Amino acid sequence: MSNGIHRRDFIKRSAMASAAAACAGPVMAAGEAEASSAGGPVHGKTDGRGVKWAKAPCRFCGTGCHVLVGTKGGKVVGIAGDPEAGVNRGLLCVKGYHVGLALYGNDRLTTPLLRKGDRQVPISWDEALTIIARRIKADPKRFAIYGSGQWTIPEGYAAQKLIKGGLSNNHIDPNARLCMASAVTGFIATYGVDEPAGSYDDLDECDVLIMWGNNPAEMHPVLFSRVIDRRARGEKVTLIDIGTRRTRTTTHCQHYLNFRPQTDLAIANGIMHLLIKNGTYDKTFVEKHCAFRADPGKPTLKGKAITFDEFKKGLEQFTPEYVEQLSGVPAREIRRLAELFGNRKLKITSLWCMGVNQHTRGTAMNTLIHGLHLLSGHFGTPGDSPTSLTGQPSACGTAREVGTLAHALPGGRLIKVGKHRASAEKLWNLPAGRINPKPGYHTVKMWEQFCTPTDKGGDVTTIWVQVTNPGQSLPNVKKLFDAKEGLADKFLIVSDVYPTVTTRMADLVLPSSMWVEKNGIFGNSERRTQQWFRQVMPPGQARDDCWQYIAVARKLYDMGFPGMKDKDGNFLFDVKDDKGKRVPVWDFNRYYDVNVDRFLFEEYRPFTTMKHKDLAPYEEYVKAHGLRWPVVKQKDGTWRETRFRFSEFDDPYVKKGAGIEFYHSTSKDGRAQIWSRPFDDHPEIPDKEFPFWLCTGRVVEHWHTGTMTGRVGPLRKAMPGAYVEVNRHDATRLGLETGQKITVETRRAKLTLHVWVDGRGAPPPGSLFIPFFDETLLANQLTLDAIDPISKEPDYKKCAARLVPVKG
Amino acid sequence: MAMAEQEKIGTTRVAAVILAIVLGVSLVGFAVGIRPAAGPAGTPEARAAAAADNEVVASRPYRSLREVGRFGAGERVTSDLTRLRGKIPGLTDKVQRSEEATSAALAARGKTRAYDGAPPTIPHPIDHSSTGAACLSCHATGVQIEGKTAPVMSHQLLASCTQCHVSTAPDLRGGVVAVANSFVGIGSSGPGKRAWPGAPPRVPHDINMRGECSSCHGVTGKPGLRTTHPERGNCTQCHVASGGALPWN
Repeated sequence: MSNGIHRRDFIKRSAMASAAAACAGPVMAAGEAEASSAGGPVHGKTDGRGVKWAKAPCRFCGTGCHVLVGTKGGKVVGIAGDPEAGVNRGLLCVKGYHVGLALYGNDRLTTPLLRKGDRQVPISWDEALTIIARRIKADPKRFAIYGSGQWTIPEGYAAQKLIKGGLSNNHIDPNARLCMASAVTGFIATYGVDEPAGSYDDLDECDVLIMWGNNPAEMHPVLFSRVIDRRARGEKVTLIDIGTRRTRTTTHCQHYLNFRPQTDLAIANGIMHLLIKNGTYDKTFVEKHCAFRADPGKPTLKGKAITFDEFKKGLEQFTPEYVEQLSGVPAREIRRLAELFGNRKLKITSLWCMGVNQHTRGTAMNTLIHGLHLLSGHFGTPGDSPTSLTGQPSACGTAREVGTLAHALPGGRLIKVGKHRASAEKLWNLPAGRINPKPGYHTVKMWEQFCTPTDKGGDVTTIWVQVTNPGQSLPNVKKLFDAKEGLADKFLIVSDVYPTVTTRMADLVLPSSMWVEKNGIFGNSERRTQQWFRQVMPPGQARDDCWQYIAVARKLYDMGFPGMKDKDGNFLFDVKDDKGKRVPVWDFNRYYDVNVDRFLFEEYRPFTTMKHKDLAPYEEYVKAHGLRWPVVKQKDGTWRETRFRFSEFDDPYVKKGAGIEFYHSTSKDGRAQIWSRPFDDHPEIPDKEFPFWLCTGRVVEHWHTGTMTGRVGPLRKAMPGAYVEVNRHDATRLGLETGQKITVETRRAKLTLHVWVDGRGAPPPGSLFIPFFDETLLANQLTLDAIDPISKEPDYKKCAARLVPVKG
Repeated sequence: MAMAEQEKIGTTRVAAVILAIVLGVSLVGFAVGIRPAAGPAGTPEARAAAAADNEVVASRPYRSLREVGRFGAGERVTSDLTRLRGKIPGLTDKVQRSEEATSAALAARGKTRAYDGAPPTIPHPIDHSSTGAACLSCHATGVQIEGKTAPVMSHQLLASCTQCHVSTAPDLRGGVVAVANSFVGIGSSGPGKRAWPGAPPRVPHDINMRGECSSCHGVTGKPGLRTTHPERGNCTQCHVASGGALPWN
């Protein structure tokens, strides 16, 4: 808020000053060229230097800041934080300030490339599309799409419709599987519907902020500043970091609880144990709004109903002392947390991201955090909220809401449910039974099948990758990606903007437009849908990802592939202009004759109401800096967003007088489920042979695999390469110093890196940390491909490793 | 109360506290000593690690700070006190402005900014794990050390400095493939217009996050940008914004 006020104050002051100046002396000639004025760049304005400023959500993380993109002469020339944006209020992080540079790396892909032997040779777009269409036509069931939480909503929607509606094939999964699948299963298991109840507004209201295995100071810096800047203004906010490594976030926290990896489950159970033992849980809230659930042996998404007494019994063993024994967190700290949660006067917000999601018990841990907030009644009022953060800019908007997952259909529909398939077929105007009732392969399975020879049962032969870099970001990459090499009948298609580890393996490379080189819509972590327009042209023959799907679909249509027609015989992507006239958008020269994004978005909108995730018409998003769903039409014709879901005071779908209502409850009685989820240990615990825990993750300067940020000078110079963080105690014991090289070895691979002691972060004794952005030092050769049994999300945060001295 | 008496009471208290600490430590030591080596959880490494985390790690001798300097914030550590303090011009010292000095100042600014308005990168090594407090020790007021200037922050206090400002004096050289980038950012907005010779120039650039004029134009500012009259604190009394892009226009 301080920024907004600051800016408004300044505008007021400067307006007064200008008026005074105008009265006092000669007035400046109208239109006289001079650089911009007081408040800085404004959306829709051209400043005195001829720089045109327009809004766009940042290309990078799930926070969803709005940036102002300054363009001149057909190029991006500057970036500013958008003061009108509710998320970031004028502030950005270092990646956001440099996002414009990500377009201009000198090695942009500008032409389709086909592998011929060891080389990739330029071919025409038409040849490329024909190759893809022929491969699909020859074997549509063994084709797969691997997409992204960085797909725009229309891109994901087009991919979804092409494969599930057109090919009757469900082998589509996004990289978001690696990132937030456990958050999804956590929400669905608890509330019966995905995505947070609260919003970033909770960060402005909370008295206590608990971060579970989370480092927002580097990963969601603008949100973190939203809290710590409150303290700088004199407000009292208690920050508690529950983590396995000291980070930049820790330095700002009043409390740091270091736990042994995997024992976050024990800590959450320990707090619940005390809330019940001390009678400080919220009895009224629980009696009115909650039910209890447990796994019937094998972990499942729905589980079985249990009584409160059974739930209580499950917690009995988790005394603070036992939790201390498991986790290494002192019992008094567990008691302190229980006291906080037991205090109804405090407002408590929990934040978590990859530490909880990339976890072999990720679903369990997600449900435990929700359960803790429900049991203690810290839910449903501003500032009292369990808030899961996402990593990617449209993991929510595209992967989760459009449902580009192997088991899902748009708008919260499931492949397995006949009614849901029928409703999707109706909305897509497809003949009944077109959608295949069998879920496709999830990410890890998809790549396993692709890397297995066809005659040994590897029944995925072609994968089309868009907007992601699996050769670097999959766990255990040697097994799940590198093993493709030499398998002659496997074909990898990759759409990207720069050469990457993945494009180097590709048989066909397609050059893509990126970010403001195309129209787009993202959906961020707080249910906010954000639209932008194309502002500059893509280089060379780079073309929009969404167009690529439509063009391949049209090739298949022209080849007579029956799935490319709806039940009336019309093309699946029968795009029409406002007058109802068909536009041949598969011809890229005609693609922008009509706004295809708007067309597909309006086609998608009716899907969103089933789960009460209502979206407003496209034009509303053009006007706004994003709107949080459900966006519901008011009597006066305006559209209203929802900040707090399931709470009567803000959510129009809660029954009058209910106060709180979970209207998608899995127990069908308006209640949320509190899960009994005991602790069990990780599949690869350090031992004598591999005595260290190894954790991987991100740094503030780089976006995921660094293919964009690595081409931005200031970011690359600031963080030029990967390293391994070693605890000072271990370093002293092993005679290691910062800057020295050491080999980190796991059961899967080894990697030689620089040692960094007391660096960006500091792991506790017995732990190591390696960032994964560096394509020359692939951290994911080391990681484990063990997955959560429910969400199928891998655990990048824990595996066993050893340090081996480098000879010579 | 007599001084001697006060001291005596003080000494007694100190002795009592020391005694309590000694007793406490021996009790804890005894407890630790008799604790079983491995618990039911079967995770001896974990508890060893957790215990080790609470152990006191011997601090490094000061002289080693300089030895590891090439990897960290200690790079600037010097033992020559005479060179340490920079000379900050006085408020009334005469300031000579010249076009060359201004060009040089703008060129220097450009080296740490991708475009006009970008948050400057940090030209010196930093302590990667410290809070903003370390930055503020110099940048809250602005200082000069060994001829290098640490300007005062140009914006209001925002607590997470490294969110926007990154150090390009890297601690570790690494292997990310360096690819050239053809981005050309907007340059400086140039000098502010004057209504007539001798009139105070208007502010040529936007001042979002640049509200603290003395950051560039104050006494620690670069010669080409430094104001001729740093003693006057109310800049906007005479220098007004250029206008033309107010949101309601």
